[in-house]
Amino acid sequence: MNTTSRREFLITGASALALSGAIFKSVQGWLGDFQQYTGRELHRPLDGSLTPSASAQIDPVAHALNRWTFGPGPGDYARVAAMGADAFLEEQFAPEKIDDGLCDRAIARFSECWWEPLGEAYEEDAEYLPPVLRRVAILRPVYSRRQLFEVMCEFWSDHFNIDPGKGDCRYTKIADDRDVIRAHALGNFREMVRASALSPAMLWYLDGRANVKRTPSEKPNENYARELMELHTLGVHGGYTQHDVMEVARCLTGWTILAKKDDGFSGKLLSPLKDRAKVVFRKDAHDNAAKQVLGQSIPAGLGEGDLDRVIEIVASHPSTARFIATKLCVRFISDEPPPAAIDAVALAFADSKGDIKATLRTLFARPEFHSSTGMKFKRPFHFVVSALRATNAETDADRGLFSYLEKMGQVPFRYPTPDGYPARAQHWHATLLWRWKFALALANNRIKGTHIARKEIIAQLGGDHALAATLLNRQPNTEESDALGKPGDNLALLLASPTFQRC
Amino acid sequence: MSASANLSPNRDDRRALVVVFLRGAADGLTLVAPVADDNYHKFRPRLAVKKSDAVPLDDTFGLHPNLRALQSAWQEGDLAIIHGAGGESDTRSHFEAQDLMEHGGPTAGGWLGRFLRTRGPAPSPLAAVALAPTLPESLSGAPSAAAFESLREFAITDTRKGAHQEDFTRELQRLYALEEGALHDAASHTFEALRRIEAIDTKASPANGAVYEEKYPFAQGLRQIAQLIKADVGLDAASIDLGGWDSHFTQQTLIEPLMLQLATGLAAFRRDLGPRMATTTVVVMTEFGRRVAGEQRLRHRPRARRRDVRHGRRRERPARPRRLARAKARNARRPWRPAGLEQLPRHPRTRAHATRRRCAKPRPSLPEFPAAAATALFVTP
Repeated sequence: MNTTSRREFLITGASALALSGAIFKSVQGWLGDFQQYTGRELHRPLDGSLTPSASAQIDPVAHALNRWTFGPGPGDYARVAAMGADAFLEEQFAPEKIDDGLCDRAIARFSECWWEPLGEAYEEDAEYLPPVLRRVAILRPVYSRRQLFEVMCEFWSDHFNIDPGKGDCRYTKIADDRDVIRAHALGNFREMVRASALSPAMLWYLDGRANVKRTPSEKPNENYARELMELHTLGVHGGYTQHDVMEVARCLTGWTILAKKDDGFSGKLLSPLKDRAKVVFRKDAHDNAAKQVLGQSIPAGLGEGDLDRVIEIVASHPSTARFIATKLCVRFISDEPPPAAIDAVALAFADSKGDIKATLRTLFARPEFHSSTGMKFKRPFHFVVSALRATNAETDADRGLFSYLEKMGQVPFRYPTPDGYPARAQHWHATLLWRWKFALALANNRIKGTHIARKEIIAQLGGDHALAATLLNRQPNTEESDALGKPGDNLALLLASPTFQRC
Repeated sequence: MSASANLSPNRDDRRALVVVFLRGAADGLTLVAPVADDNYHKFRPRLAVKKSDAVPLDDTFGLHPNLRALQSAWQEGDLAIIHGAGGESDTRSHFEAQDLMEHGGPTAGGWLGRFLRTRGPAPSPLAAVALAPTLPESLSGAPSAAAFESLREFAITDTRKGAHQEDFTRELQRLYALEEGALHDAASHTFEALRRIEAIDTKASPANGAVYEEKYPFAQGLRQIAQLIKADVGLDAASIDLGGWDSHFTQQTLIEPLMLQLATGLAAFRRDLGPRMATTTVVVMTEFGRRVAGEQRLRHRPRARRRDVRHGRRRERPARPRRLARAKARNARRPWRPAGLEQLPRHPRTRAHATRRRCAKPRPSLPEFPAAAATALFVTP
């Protein structure tokens, strides 16, 4: 007796299909998550021409790749050579127009980076967020196609250094990275300084939140004011005095952040969770009298307007242009950059009122920049990222990789003092041993969470010689070819070679 | 100048600092007991070290008998004890107190890391080492600090086979020999340091008849540190942990073997280094201690809920408002649950929250000793 009508049969069949489809979808989604989690399937597809440089020296295209990116991956040389270094620079100057799907996929699971309001971050463990931030800071330079933008993010992260290990910075540094560093990395310097001054993490790190004047006798906290001039703008010999430091501190009194309980600085503002770490201006804790900063007078009664006046004065000071120009030239030209280049870059910085793109454009057009091939010693972070890029590695940027950066002394966001990781080579020469061990471990897939398809890459590039030319960004010289001809681990040797330590 | 001359050996101006962290709050009043103080015996009728058992130091204090191995260092004036020093925070959270100690206050970066940074570029890849799976917080921010568990980790090996990469090293040496200036010097320092590490005979017996107990990992760790110092690899600072001091009910059972480990390890280290102790300083520290009247309240905190991955030390999780809110919403959807349960959502992670509440009863008032009594032993030249 067949009671099942054709209609019922169809419905059952359709729902079974739908169900299996749903299961398939969820398994697929789960697999996708798993791949993201393990870092697998996160490498750039090797299509298009992979032809490396045929030049015996580092040519302009290779130089551009060395300095404007965290190192070329397979195929990058051919792509930039085809479009021309100038067109590549224009492309890099408009990061928002670059499709960055791979990087987005690599960091998709770290939704913490976009959390708002910031107060919600306080629900997490004290030690939960800093590792997330560090992993994202490694994944982005490795996978992003917005390379110059990432290079500048690293530069400004050191310039406005905050170690999340201090107080509430472990919750608020994520917002600082997003709203100060990344929001302005290729924007305007003055706006970046202003954003940094009002960043909850900076207010914690340099005690700006404690800079209050509630009674006439209370002394302002000068910590941020000093670093603002010494490290962020004018530089230590920028021509300011202790009096200027105190006056700037007075201007900035009253800017504080809402806390969980009254710690003496946030006043009566007991805030609910979502308002926690919100930046507020406390009129009653602001020193509203007249001030004199670097020879310019600020009239009494401006209130929160003092902040903009101070930022205006320090950011447009000629010493600031020189200080920033010097730092940029050290990053992009050499450890002891020629004064002519610094002068030109400082002029461009001042003329453009702190426009970072215009400043960089001038710097990259300088003859000193073009003649500085291979003169920079990669810092450990740069070395590790460039090795991962050169080998088209998949990485989860977790402990396995961390431990090498730790040994080399450059884990992202773990520099304790506000001056940021040192830029010059002398500080990093003692890290060679760990670079060599990293090269061996990477080449032999001995880093947990990081994987390279060694054989496939060498096969696709067309042998050891092409591999060498890809990694060195030029044809290997006689000694290098000779060393590669000997038995031993060629890939590790190339990554550990003196040439690969430089850019 | 040869590479070996550049690699500042420990024996001239270079001093080595060895930091031993007793994780879990070692009870300073048991390690170094005020045996002549009546109050001590009054408040600790069961735990107090008897005057007859103690190793006398002066009119008031005596070492716990298990620390007898340190007596000679004291008699020769090489041991200093700082009692009752510590942080002001009274949360009694091991995690927070260790953090404060290792950072040297509520500030960024470890105290050792900051100290090493101020000394400029590290001349050696082995300037700072930690005998641990990961770097301790105190070394956070240091220029080139390496966590290691065996000296073999420093050698250039393929970690799978454990075989030396001789071809690799030889070719590398040749490539760096072609360099000039600072990079060339740095490479030759590194090759020299590698050579010295490889020359260490890890099986060789320690000097001066010192005996590091085979069964104690702490002693074996100190032995490796001593080997590094004697090999002149440019060591500035070394960090090593001795954990497990977090005793509540069974203090004697738990910490007496630890005291023995500590004392015999340090004594062997001192004997092994011999004249090298003149340029070596050992600092022993812990995060806080047991309260003077610690017998009446043997548990100073509710049990921690999970182990931190780092150092295996315990820590607490804060209450999770979002989780609580979700639980409340869930309970609201299920009105048949008895009232009042929303205070305690049935989730394993919130259980300690409830425990903490139960513990928060008023306690009898007792005379207070400095809340965070840390003990530091200095073995100084």
